[in-house]
Amino acid sequence: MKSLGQIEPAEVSESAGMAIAALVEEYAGTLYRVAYSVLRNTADAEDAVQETYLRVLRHRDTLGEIRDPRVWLVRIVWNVVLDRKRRSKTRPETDDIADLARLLPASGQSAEERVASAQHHERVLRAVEKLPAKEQRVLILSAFEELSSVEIAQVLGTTESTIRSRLFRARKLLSGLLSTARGHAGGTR
Amino acid sequence: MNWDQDFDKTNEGTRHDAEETLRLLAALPSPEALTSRVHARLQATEAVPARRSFWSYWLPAQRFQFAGAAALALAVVGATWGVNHQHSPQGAANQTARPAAPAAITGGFGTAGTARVPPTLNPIKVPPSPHRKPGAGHTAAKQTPKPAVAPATVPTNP
Repeated sequence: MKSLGQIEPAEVSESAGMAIAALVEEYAGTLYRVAYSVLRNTADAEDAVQETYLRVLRHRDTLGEIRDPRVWLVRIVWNVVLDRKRRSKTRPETDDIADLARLLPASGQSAEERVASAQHHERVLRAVEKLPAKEQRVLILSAFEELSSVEIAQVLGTTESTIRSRLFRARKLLSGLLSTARGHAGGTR
Repeated sequence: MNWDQDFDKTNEGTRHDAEETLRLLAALPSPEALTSRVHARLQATEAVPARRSFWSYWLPAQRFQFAGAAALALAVVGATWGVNHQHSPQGAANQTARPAAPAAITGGFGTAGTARVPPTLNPIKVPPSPHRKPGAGHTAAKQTPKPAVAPATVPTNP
């Protein structure tokens, strides 16, 4: 597929609709997963994706200036998602995490293994929730195989070294939180 | 960094487990027909006609709109200037008369001894009296005593 950077501006303005349609086909899934990883709600994530493409539609005349549409789109959806999350700050998420942990694919074959796997996922997700916002965001975005550390830096509007240091701090904090959680779980048994 | 390596070794399993959960979360499939719904939403948005201003109906080209706006602004400015220019002489006439400048100051109290004479105290010019008739002049002569003429004296020689 011809990338947007290779399309002439005049050509883009003429076929902006087709270009946006191609962007939807290619990146809607990625954007949805990015939105879902933060919002953890199917309808909200889909709304965020639609809002992202509506914003793209508003800037259709400048589509030719976009070098990397994937990172650009992820950045837009990320901002949309953060806006939405800020607005729905008071919504309780405890039940969402438990439901989400059940949705994730279990690693074991037996029922016991599946239950243990779901509990592990739940513990991890709760620990991630406790991380500071900046570290949490970097960790969530680093889980996407499509995004390199340079691209994560572009999405978050910072440098690659900052991303690396935040990622290191996030992993350290997460390990500490999970060890504490395991200790508590072992003590209660 | 040694500390970093130690940390990585001790927490590697935990970290990988934790990140595996996030990776699974990031890899959850998107709902079916997501793209078609996005397409439909975009088409619905595009189908709504953009709001057009009143001017765009009879001045479609943007440059004509700019030219029209500039002409309108010029007309307003010209009219304002014209009105002000017309009013300025009348305004000067309506101004109250300024008091006469005081006499030239020669000392510290230049105007101390000046007396203001109101214009109403100027002497009134009386028109000259009309010519009188001869009769009227006789009576007038009677009334007015003639000046006494002194009798001629003859000088006497001693």
